[in-house]
Amino acid sequence: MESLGIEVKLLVAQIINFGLFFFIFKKFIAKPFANFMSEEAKKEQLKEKMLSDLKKKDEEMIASQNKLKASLKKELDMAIKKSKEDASVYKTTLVAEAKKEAEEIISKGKKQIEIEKKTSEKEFKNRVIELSTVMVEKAFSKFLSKDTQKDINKNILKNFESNLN
Amino acid sequence: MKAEIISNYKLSESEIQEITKKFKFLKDYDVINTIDTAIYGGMIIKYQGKVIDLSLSSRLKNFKKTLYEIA
Repeated sequence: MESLGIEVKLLVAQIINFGLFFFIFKKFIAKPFANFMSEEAKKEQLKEKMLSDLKKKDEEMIASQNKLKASLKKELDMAIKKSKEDASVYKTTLVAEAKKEAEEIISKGKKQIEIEKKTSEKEFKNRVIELSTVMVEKAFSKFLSKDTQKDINKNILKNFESNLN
Repeated sequence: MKAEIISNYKLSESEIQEITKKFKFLKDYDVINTIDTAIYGGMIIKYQGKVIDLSLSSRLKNFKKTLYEIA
């Protein structure tokens, strides 16, 4: 061995050194490091699991949101449809009421016109009577001569019949 | 007792006599002739609170009343 240049003592010392190093490395470095690595791996796994759970929950929430939107839209459409129907019915009722009121107003107006027409006619006739009598009075005042008046008196006395006597 | 004959003009004696002849009760009355041009013609005889209206104005009034009733 010595002829190969290998010292046994050095070799044994190296082997012991290596063994010690190995022992120390295994006990104080490798194990904690391996624990650390496994811990990290576990953490990674947990993270991935949490991520996938979150993703799943997110998908579920989106699905439920979509479902809610769809149902809300359906309800809204129904409400709009019902409102349109109600408005149409109300419109028909209003139009009918307005028509009825208009007819009543027209009828009242016609009656009022008739009444006013009759009143005007009566007033006109009364005025004609007044004017005629005024004209006759004027004629009496102006055109009845004394002779004519004497004749009138004679005529009145002739035609007057009474039981006063 | 007094009686009043209202006429449109002054009545002559003969006319008053004619009236008295027609209304014989006037013989018992002292007849006075009053002039009122508003009667237009004819006469109104007033005696003892009574009135005999033979004037043209009253006839015109009655005619007017009839016209109002007809109209």
